[in-house]
Formats: sequence, structure tokens, C-alpha cells
Amino acid sequence: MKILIVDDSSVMRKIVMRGLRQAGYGNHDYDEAGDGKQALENVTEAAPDLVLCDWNMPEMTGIELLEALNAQEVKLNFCFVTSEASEDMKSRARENGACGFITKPFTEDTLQDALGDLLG
Amino acid sequence: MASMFMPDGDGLGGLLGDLIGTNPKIQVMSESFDPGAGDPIAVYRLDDDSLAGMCVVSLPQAARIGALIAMLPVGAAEDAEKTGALSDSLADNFTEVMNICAQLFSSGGAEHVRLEAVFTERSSLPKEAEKLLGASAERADFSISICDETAGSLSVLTT
Repeated sequence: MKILIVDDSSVMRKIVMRGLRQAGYGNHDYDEAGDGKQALENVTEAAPDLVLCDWNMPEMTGIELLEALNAQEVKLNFCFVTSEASEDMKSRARENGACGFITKPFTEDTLQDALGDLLG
Repeated sequence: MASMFMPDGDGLGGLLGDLIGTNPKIQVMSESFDPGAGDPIAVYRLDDDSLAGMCVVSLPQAARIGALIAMLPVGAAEDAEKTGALSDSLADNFTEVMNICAQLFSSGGAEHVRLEAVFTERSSLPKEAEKLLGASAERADFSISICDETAGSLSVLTT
């Protein structure tokens, strides 16, 4: 499976990747993007199966990215990985078809609970 | 000004421990920590852009936090201590930790808080943040020791 990790913090992208490997999902292809705009380009070029995305980012936020993908009728799995998790945000994510919402900091168990069915 | 949630030592230690992979020793300190040159200061704001609070960490401990979250060798943190400044990568890493720590201020149904920036020069702090730093504000001062290194300071101030 192709997994795109989107976060404006390079260290957080690495932490997400490391967490996924430690959770037993090291056998997937990983790619990175630093904001929603870069991610949109990556989705067009590389067609990932899963996007793991921060919410707050410059240029284009995570929810703006998801809305843009929906507008383009791009079908993929989209999960937020973010330090903020208000009910409003979760609700907006669900309404736009996000399949998960992981709050930072996360553990291997958190990742397995959120993504196990998809990546298992 | 809004009344913000004041994070306690357990909350801070737990969150930092989850991020850096080792639980820091955090103890309440009776004296106030007055940041010096190079000690990074994280400034937090509410959605209406008013000041919500600050988190101030002594440079050696901020450097260790920045190194540990990225699994960098301890030498990177020691270099920062020698030079009296965080390298760009340590500063970025520390900023990400402070960004995640914003959730501590919003606990218990308090208003949404976001990180504005981390300032490493006190002279570049926004005026109201400098004022809060010098005021007898709502604050909690802690000693913090990471990986049994010499303890430094971590202070949280809220409006």
C-alpha cells in the first residue's frame, strides 16, 4: 500500500513513519509532503492509497486538502494525525469522509486501533 | 483576558514523555524561573489572537527535548548548550513539541489555544508576552530533568 504522510514538521513526519513501522506496518511504501498543496500534487502523481495528514499547515490545511480531493472525486483513505482534536474538527473530518482521527502524541496501540483494519 | 487551564507537572511530564520516549522528572519549584539568553519561550494564543499563555524552558532541557524527539545523538543537545543556542533543527523539533503542548492549555473544556511561535530572544517577544513574563501572573514553575541529566527549569504562565 502507498502511504502519504503530510505534516509541515519534518520531525513529525519521521515520528509518524517510525510509529507505523513500530506498530508493524513497515512493509508499505511511504512518501512525504510538507503541506496540503504538495500533498495534492503527490496524490495526482503517485496515487497513494492512504493519506495520513496533519490539520494545521501553511499553504493548504489538512481539511482543505480533503475538501479539494473530494471536489476532484479522488477516492482514497484519509486519516488525520493532529495535535488538536475538537469535536467540531472531528465532525468536519467525518462529514468529508475521513476514515480516522489520531491525536498526537500517539502510541503503537493508537495507530493499530485506528489503522489496523486498513493496514493489517 | 480569558482564564486558561493551568497544566500541572503530571500532565506536562506525561505528554513530554510520550513525545520524547522517556519520562522527565518534573518537580514543583518554589522560585520563579527567569529566562536568560537563549532559553526558548513558547507563546500561545486564543482563536481571537489574544495572549493565552507561555511555556518557558531552560536551553539545555529544550535542546534535549529537541534531540530526543528526533532520536538525534545527545551530542546535538550538548552542542546547543556549549554555543548557547538551539540549532535550526533542534529549534524546529522543540517548536513541534511546544505545538503539541498547546493541548494542555485547552484541557477541561478551556478555550482552544494554539502556538503562535517559539522565541529564542526575549527582546523579540510580543509586548504583552513580555509583560506577562514580568508580571506576577498565574504561573507554575517546575524543575525538569531528562535522562537523569542536571535539572533545568520549565515554567508555564497563563493569562
